Amino acid sequence: MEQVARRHKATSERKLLFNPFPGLRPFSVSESHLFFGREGQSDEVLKKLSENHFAAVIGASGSGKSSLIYCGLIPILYGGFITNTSSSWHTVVTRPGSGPIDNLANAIVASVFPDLRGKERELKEKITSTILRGSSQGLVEVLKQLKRPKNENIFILLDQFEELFRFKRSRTDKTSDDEAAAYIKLFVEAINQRELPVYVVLTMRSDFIGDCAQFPDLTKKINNSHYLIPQMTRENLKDAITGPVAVGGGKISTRLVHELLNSVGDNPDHLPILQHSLMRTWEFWVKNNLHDEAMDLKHYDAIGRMEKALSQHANEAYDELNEEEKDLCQRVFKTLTEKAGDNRGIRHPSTMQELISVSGATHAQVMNVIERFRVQGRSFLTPAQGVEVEDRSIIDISHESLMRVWDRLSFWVEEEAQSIHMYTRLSEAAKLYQEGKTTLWRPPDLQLALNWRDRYKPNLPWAERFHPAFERTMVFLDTSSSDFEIEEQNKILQQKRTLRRTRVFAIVLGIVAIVFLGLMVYSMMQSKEADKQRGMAIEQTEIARQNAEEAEKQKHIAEEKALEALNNAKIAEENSKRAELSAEEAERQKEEAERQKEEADRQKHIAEEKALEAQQNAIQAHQNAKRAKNQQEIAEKAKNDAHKLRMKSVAKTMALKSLKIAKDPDKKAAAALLAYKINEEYEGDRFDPDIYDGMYYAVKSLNDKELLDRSKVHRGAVRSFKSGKGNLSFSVGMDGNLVKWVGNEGSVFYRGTGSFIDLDYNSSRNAVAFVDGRSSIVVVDANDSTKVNVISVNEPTEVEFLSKNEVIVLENGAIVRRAIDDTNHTVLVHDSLDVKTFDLHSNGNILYVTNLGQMIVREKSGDEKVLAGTFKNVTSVTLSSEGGFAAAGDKDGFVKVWDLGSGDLITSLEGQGARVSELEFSKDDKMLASASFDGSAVIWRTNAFNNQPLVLKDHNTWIYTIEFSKNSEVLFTGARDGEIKPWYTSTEAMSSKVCPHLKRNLTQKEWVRYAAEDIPYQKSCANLPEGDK
Amino acid sequence: MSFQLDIVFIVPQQLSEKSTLWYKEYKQTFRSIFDQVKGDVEFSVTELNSLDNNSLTNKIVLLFHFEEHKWSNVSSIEVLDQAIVFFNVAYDSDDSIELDEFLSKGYSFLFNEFDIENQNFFPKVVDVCYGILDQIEGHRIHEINGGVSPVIFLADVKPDQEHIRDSLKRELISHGYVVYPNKPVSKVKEVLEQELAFYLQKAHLCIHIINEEYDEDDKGKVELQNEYCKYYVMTQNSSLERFVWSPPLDEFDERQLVFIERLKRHSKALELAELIQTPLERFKNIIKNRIVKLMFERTIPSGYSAVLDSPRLKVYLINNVEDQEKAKKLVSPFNEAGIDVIPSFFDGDEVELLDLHRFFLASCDVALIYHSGRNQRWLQMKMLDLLKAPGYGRNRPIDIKGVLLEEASVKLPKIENLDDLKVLGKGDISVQGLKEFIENK
Repeated sequence: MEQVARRHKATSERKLLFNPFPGLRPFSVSESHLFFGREGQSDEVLKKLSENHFAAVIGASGSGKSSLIYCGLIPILYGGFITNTSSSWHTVVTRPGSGPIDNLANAIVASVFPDLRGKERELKEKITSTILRGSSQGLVEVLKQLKRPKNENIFILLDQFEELFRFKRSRTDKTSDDEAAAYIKLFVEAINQRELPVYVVLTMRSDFIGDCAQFPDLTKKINNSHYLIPQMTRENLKDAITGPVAVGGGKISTRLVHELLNSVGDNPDHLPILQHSLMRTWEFWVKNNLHDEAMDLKHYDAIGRMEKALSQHANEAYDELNEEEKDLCQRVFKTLTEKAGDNRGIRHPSTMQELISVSGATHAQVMNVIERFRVQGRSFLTPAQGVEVEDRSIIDISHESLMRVWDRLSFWVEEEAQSIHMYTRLSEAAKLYQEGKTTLWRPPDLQLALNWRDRYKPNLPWAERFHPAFERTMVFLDTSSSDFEIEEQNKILQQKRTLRRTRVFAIVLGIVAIVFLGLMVYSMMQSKEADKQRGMAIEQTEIARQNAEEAEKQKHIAEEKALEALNNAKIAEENSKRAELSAEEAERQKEEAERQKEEADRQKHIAEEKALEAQQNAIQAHQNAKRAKNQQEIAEKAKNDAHKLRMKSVAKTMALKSLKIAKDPDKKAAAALLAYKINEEYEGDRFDPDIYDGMYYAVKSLNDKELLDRSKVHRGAVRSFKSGKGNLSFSVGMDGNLVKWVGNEGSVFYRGTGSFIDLDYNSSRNAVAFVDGRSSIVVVDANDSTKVNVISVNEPTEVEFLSKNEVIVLENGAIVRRAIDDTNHTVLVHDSLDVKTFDLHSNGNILYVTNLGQMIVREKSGDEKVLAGTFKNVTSVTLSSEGGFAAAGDKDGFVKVWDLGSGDLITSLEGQGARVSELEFSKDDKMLASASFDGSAVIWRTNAFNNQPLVLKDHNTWIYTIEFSKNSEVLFTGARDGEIKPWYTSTEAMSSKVCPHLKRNLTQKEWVRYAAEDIPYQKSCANLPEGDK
Repeated sequence: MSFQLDIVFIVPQQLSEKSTLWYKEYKQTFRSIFDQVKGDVEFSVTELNSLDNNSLTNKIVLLFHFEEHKWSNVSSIEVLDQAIVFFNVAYDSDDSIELDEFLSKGYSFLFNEFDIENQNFFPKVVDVCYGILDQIEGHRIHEINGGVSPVIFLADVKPDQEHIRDSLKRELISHGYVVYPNKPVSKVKEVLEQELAFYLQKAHLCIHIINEEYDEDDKGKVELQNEYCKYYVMTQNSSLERFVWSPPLDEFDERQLVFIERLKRHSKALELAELIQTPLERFKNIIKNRIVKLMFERTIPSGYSAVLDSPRLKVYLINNVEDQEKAKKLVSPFNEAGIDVIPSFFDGDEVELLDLHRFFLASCDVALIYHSGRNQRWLQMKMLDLLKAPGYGRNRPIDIKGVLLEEASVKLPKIENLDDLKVLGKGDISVQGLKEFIENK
């Protein structure tokens, strides 16, 4: 009972000790108690060493060879687990480096006299080296001379043995061959003898194993006793997680363990990232563990999980820097990394002096940055905190995974690679120019180079690493720039002239416009004035008429008076004799008559003037009337236009209302068809989306077979759909099926085990090609599903037929041309560009987009043209059938279109709300369609990109694929739920489908409801009666 | 050595013209394919149209079922005892009570559904042919293993996951493992639970295959199996390991992402189970490794088993091979004092020694290092081993960690986080003193 109680007490006293995860830095020998998951591996090596006194530990770069030896093998060796010998060990650790025998001599001296320094040590090293070089027994001789305790074993670790071959490759002299051979003989002899208990282990990268074959004795030893480090199993990984947690006194939830195991998966590169994530999770858990709970998903989530933990942690350090330091930090990390030939980021350890020169900063400034990245718990850079850094000290990043996981560094590595690429291109061009073999640079290359110089500000120490002729290169760039500037200035002068002319022309046009505007206003005023004048003219005409009548009357009176006067004169003359007394009276009467006559003449003149004035007023009135008629015609036209507009609006409204009719398909279809007809009659937009929607759902409600969904053959998402010969078409999906469609009927034609994701059809071969899972391209004969070609490809994502016998494949970021019989392949676009997606035109041109968002057209000849601007996160690209346009869509639903002739961006379209999954131009290039994860497909007209597009939204889930029919009348869409839908691309095509299925027209009442009371009733279909008759 | 096989097709009489044509083509296809894949198997095909035949024992039987002609007498097929039946169904059948009864009789089954309208049944016939060969191979290996094979419960799945289950099942059978259920499970919950209890009682390992169709609110057979297995592990057999496999995430499939996240964080489906999201081939490796580990039995040296099984306090006495004789002298006095001692072991293969050392570190109550002072590096490694012991699967700390020093002058290496290490003896190691120390601790 006491014992049990003690156990309980011990359990309750269990306390949290320390963080057992080292993060990115390697385990040290003194941390072997934290090294879990490789127990079986170190045991195997020990067994081989015990049996053969030798073991070659071989593994891929980064597979943990050194950790296995230092933390796995050496502790159990020292722990006395070789049973047939003592547990005392004298250890010599050496690396061949560039002087293998001297390095061995130095290592032996250091192991015996660790504190010896100066000349005395040099002397001992020289003596030892001389003995070693004396004969193949040299090592045995030296070991015999060691003053070691009785029964002490000798363990020699030849770490990074591949340096022997790297060293040989880099030297051309014969002596290096001899030294390597002599070095190997020393070990072979030491292993072969049994007088001394010598045990030798070498570690070597597996890609150098072939180099060992040139040394038969060494090959024999390796054949007898080698250990190829296997990938850690899930069980091993579980131990690597739970073991240290237990040692550190912590607790971890099972689900977090499973989550970590699933995240690590197969990728050995994830191991250091796992270690780092666990270190961070532990830290967070300790700080936030209030309730004695186990480390769990929430703690893991908080540090950014494996995907982001490292990046987040490194960014914390970066964010602590001020702007100047950030810039310096970027330069330091760019110097510490580089891109290898296979486009992988690799480390580039550099001396402190090198960092200072390249960055142009002081020792203290660089040190300040380095310190932030090597403080306790960060260890992103080596040497570790506390180790003094001198100018010749080597600075290195602690693990290559940092380059892949830290987003910022990954970007810098890419940026630096491009910068180096630009510099080397420029240097080569400068060299050729100097030799008279090329011309100065012109845009766009020149502009890119100038941008590069402005941005990266290269200096001599930096540039010398890649090409020595830095000065010449910069002079070449300056000369190119100034030469081009002069050319440009001339062009600008010319342009200015043109501009001036254009301005004058614009001003004239402006004035003319203003004049016309004034005339218009004047015309309107004149119109009003004319109305007024017409009224006045009518009045004036009336007055003139009255005046004329009066004048006529006066004239008549005057004439009568004149006649009377004449008669009176005659009477007076006759009576003169008889009435001299009346003479004066007569004279007076005559004068009076003359006066009357004058008066009458005057009245007549006035009447004539009035008549003329009336005549002029009549002309003016006629002109005014004519003008008024014109105005009336304009008003009439405006009224008609207004009516047209109203009717178009009625048509749109009717179409929209038809969408809401759910229960009566005839009413719905009749209304939609009327909407279409009215829209047509009043010259509405034939591409109107509302009219289209109305018609689509009307036809659908009438169960038109051509519009019905195809039978659901796929059990998972349809990933690609392509038309074949005649009415044949094909589709592939996540269910691993290739479905062959004859019209609307489909059946599984070929079945696989994985998922199929991209498809293309070739009519010459009459075959389809598609991507099968992540490892192959499958080509299946369209008539015979047993005629199958399989092309093994690493991580393919897209495939298109180039010809009958060749396909173009996007694999691992590269575009590769592959023979269908899998006999050969050619890389067209290297994976360094990390191509995201591509489209192949029938003329052999390829449009592709790089990781950095560059849109590039690679012509069949191999020439490349970069389209204007960059477009990141592109998910789909396409070339138009006639080759005039290029289009691309991104993950946020934006679509951009370029003019391929000029390379200019024509337009940016916003029609989709989520990832654009596929884009395609119609065969006649009149339409561009896009499909999206927002569940819709959109059709734009290429002659009016700014007009409202058709939005096809009858899918309830992500659309993966689209395909225009050959005559472009139908667009097919394939969705995530396995549905494939055909859509008419014009409303007109659908309109003819309605009447054959329709049973009635709208009733008068319905007409009033959907159109208006004041608009005369119309029938949808002439052959059918009114709805209520 | 060739294997003689009689394949019996049982097909109803008076089929419709359409079904007759279908059957004829099926038969021809089957013969051609089986002839190609059969290997060293000699086979003959006979056709029967009745089940009232008593000569069917130990045969491979392909029973055909057509919608137009339901077997009314299938429940009386007692003659099929021990036969392996491949049940070929030419329509989407789930409505026949007779069939359910028949299927629940425990025969070894492959169940294939065909759509009679779809003539392209080539891949399915290939499946049947390989299924037959797998069954034969499984039986052979099972017999080679002397009838003792690991039993895997591989839960029945929805139709769209059948190909995955089949692939996994074949792999397991080819290694001689027995895979249950060997027929479609019942859809009736009570019957299903009885069936599962029968299988799980025999099983060493339990595997479920799920995808985003898994629905805890609308439970089908996949969900019911998972739920019952969890219940079984909880109430009957806590050591039965449960694995839930789901395909690796498709980066574009948001629905799958959401499902997996929900499953991991909020679902009860994963209780007492390990979710594995790897490609199928890697999953097969994981399962094989797991089975090997399950079947592994550590060889305990003679004399040690009794100590390990004893309820008394166990002291693991760690010493250098050079100090073996001196350390041995402590064993008897400890035993007499009522304390069992696990002495260090030096005979045999290095790998076995290391395995035992770790096992003893994981099993002991007290760990004492006997040190004569000769090899400081050895002592350092052993002290680190004491620090490492919790990582070997201990469910509680070692009660006492101590170093017995033969010489008082010996200085211990500095090791961080090992503050609870006690130094005893210091030149005068007495068992009585140790006993008192242990008891007073």
